Amino acid sequence: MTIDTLEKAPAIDLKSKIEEICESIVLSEPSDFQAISSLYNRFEAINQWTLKSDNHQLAPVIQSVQVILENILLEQCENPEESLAVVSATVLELQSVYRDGNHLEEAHFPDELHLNAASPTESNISISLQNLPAHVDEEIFTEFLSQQDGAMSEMETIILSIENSNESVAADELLRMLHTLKGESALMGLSDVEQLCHRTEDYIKLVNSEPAVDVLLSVKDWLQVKFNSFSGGEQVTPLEIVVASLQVSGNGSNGKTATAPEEATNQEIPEVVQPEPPGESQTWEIDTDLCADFVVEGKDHLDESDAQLLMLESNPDDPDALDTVFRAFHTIKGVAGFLDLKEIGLLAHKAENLLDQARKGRMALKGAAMDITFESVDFLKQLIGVVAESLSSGLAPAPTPGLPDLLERITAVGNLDDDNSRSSSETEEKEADNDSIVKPDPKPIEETETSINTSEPLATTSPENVVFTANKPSIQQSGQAQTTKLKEILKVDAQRLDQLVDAIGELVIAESMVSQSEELVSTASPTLVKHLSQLDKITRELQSMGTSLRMVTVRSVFQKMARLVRDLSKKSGKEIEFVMVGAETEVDKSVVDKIGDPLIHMIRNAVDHGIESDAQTREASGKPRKGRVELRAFQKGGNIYIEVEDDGQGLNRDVILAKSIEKGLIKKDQKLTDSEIWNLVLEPGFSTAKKVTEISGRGVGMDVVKRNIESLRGLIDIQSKQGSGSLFSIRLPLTLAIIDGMIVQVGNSRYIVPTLSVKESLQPDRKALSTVLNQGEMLDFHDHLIPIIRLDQQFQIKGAKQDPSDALIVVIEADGKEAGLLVDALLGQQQVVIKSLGETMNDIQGLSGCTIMPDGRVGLILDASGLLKR
Amino acid sequence: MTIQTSVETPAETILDHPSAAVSKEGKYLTFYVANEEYGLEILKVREIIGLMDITAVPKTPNFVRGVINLRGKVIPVVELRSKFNIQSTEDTDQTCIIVVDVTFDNSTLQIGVLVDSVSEVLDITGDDIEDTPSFGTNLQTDFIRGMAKAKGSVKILLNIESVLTGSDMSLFNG
Repeated sequence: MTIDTLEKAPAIDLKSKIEEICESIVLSEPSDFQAISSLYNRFEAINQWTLKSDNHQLAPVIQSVQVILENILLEQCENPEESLAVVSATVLELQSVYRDGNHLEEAHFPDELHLNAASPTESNISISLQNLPAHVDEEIFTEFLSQQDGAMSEMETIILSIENSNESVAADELLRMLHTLKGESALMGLSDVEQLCHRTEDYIKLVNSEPAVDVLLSVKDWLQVKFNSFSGGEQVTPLEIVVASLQVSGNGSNGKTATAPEEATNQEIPEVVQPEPPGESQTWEIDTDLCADFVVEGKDHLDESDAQLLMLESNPDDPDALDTVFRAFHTIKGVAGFLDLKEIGLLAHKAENLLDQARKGRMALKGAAMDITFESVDFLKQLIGVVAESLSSGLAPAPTPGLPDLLERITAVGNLDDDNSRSSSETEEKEADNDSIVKPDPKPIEETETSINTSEPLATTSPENVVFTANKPSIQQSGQAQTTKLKEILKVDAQRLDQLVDAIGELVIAESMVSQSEELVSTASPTLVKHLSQLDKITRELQSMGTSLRMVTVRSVFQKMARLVRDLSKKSGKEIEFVMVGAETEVDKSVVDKIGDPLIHMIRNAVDHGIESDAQTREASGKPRKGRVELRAFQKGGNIYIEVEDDGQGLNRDVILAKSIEKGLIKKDQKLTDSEIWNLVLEPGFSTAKKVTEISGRGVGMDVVKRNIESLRGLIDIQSKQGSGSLFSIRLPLTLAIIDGMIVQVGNSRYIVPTLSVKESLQPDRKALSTVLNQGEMLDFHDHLIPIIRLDQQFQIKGAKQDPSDALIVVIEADGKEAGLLVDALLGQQQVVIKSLGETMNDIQGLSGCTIMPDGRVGLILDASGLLKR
Repeated sequence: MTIQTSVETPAETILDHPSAAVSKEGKYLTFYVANEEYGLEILKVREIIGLMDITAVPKTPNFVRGVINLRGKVIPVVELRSKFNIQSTEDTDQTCIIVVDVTFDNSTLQIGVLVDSVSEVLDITGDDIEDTPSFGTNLQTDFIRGMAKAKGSVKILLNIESVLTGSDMSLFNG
């Protein structure tokens, strides 16, 4: 059956359907899963009909019945007999409505329908993304969902702590969470979640950090149900109920509610391709090995296409990029045809046709065409996800909603010649197990060698363009690049990796202890020295390999950002050129995991606040029409830099100052340097935005940035020039496991001060020292007074030098504070591997951990911010 | 006696129970702290190492000597003398660290116990074990599993878990 006929599927004869159900329900028993599942399918058919025909009265009834049946099927029902009775009562009512012509309003459906006959016990069900929003990468979405579980429980704790203590800190924390969630859900296309978060933020601000806890909890519950619904939990109640409660207790902020519920329902009601029941769950007969390969490769191809499309958007004349995308679609189509995955084949084919038009120069790939191509990529990802799921469950893939709609739109965009495409699609599907290529192949031998199984993208060339291809060796190259990308990757438990790195560290220590031992050096023969230096070389090599094990490129995060910028620029109507530099820079895996959130906020700020809202303003100030946002990553010294730069309006010094004074962050006559002023924007709750937009403006974002960066032991530096843009630069340590440390001696103990927090070390002049009340000691450091911390007093160390002018002072800084640390001597600088002091004593103020020193002893690492916190 | 001696005895065993002595029997590592001989279930002992450089950790109770590097793992070392309020003395070449496995908060930790000297591994039968006599309130005995009379002397059998993680030192943080 082809899709075309499906689209025009006739309305179901509801009456006869219900009659059928009536018959089968009598025969059904709760233990007979087959009967129940066929019953479920019948209801599903009706459900789809109701959705198509906008029958809002019937839809909820049918859906509730389906939930009940689902519960029986999943054996989550306490009393299946009773549930089934409820179903049959409902069917009787329906029968009376449709056979006897009663009004639907008058039917008395059992109460249990609305109570959810059995509440599904919470998810041990693996996430089987139902209702996956369109345009979202499934992997990202799964990750997002899996994070929400923890986030929700954290949110609950925070809300409860608001109740108990009324702390504004907790409210701030909650705001941060909501803000992040809002941003993420916007990215995921969960507009209802986004709306709710936005509204809740409004609400908290409105009631001045003393929100009604009940309301907040209801918000949280709604969110939780919403997230669970993706993994097969119950459906959410309409958004409006929650929003209404926000408004009542918040004295009504504004009246925009009407849009929210609509969007919410749109989300939950899947459009469905097939108006008929998909039939009993059949086992899926397919070559699973081939199919699994296809899933992996398909995802790779689509990721690549995503990247290439973004490139194309900025540089529409890049034939290589276009060809790559075209090839990706083509390969997917070919393999899908071979594997009999009709939906994927169809969509890939349509998209390919569209791209072919662009390739031949008949149309430009931009605007609507570009959007639809992106959409196709996303949809294909979704379809492949469905296939992957089917592979693991062994059931035939369920039809995916929304496909015909998308196909139609593709056709509309491309103005494709229908006959043409249909005939070619047929021929293709027939010869799909060979290399299915639309046009005759100029290099048949080569092509057959690189058949589908090898996953080599099929170079497609049309006859009239043979010369064109031959002149473009880059096509071959990009083909090769793709094969190299498919290198074998082994997933290893991170803990094992850490153990390996630990063991290597020990080996390094042991090796240096051996090769430097005096007895050995004095008696060593030349051969032994040679062997030892060989051993030394190998150990160093092993060490650098060990540290590189945890390193991954920032590419995945950067690509996410590219997508974000694109979406944001569409939403805000600003034209933006997005440039990524250094996506191949490698950082520790944990950095990649944590840097995403801050980057989202920074990029959003750059687009929303940085870039001027209309092009005229930009042109007036001599800047190109298109705003430019640049995301860079590079390594310099022992640090990784990640920078976001925009050429927008820059930060406004006066506005920031005025706002900070208003918020009480600084005093009125306080003199501040530029960078101190810029750092004010990182304070929680700081925002200069006059109005809060959907994208940003509440001042929560930069606080998130600061916190995440700090947890990565990084620093953030802001440079800005009014009128010409701003630069946010994040400096991160190369790995989280290794820091640069300065080893200091205090009495008989040695400590390690992280070099990142050391500002300067100096031998103090007696004149620079003074005391307050004869106790508090101070040092005149670059014209301002900083306190002196005596480590020996704080840590009860014996035998330290007492006279500051005799000793050394290491000036440390953290959280914007400075202090001088009195130490006996500097012993040198060294890279050290951070270890925790263990569960028994990991909360000692002033210590962040320990390390194994080269001599095998344990060295303690000082924590500057802990020392300064006194 | 038919009961296997190698069966691990649960740490929670209540001392008052008369038959409890049977479950306490087994192999014990004995060691000296001051003039008293103590016993430690051999199954809790991971290894015995000679004295090594101990890095003192500030802001910890005085019975925590510091931390050592046990083949790349950083573990705390508790000085049993100070823990039992016995006058500390200079370390000798007999002084050593017994590394024990301690279950705390559902996770197993390794902790070093600094003792004056290690003596031997003894097989102690249930018949040899007596309950701890009560000394009234001024002497806490709840970390003692019992008293064993073997080879003509009394050995104090420790419940090392409650010695190290007992109520007054759930964490070593000062």
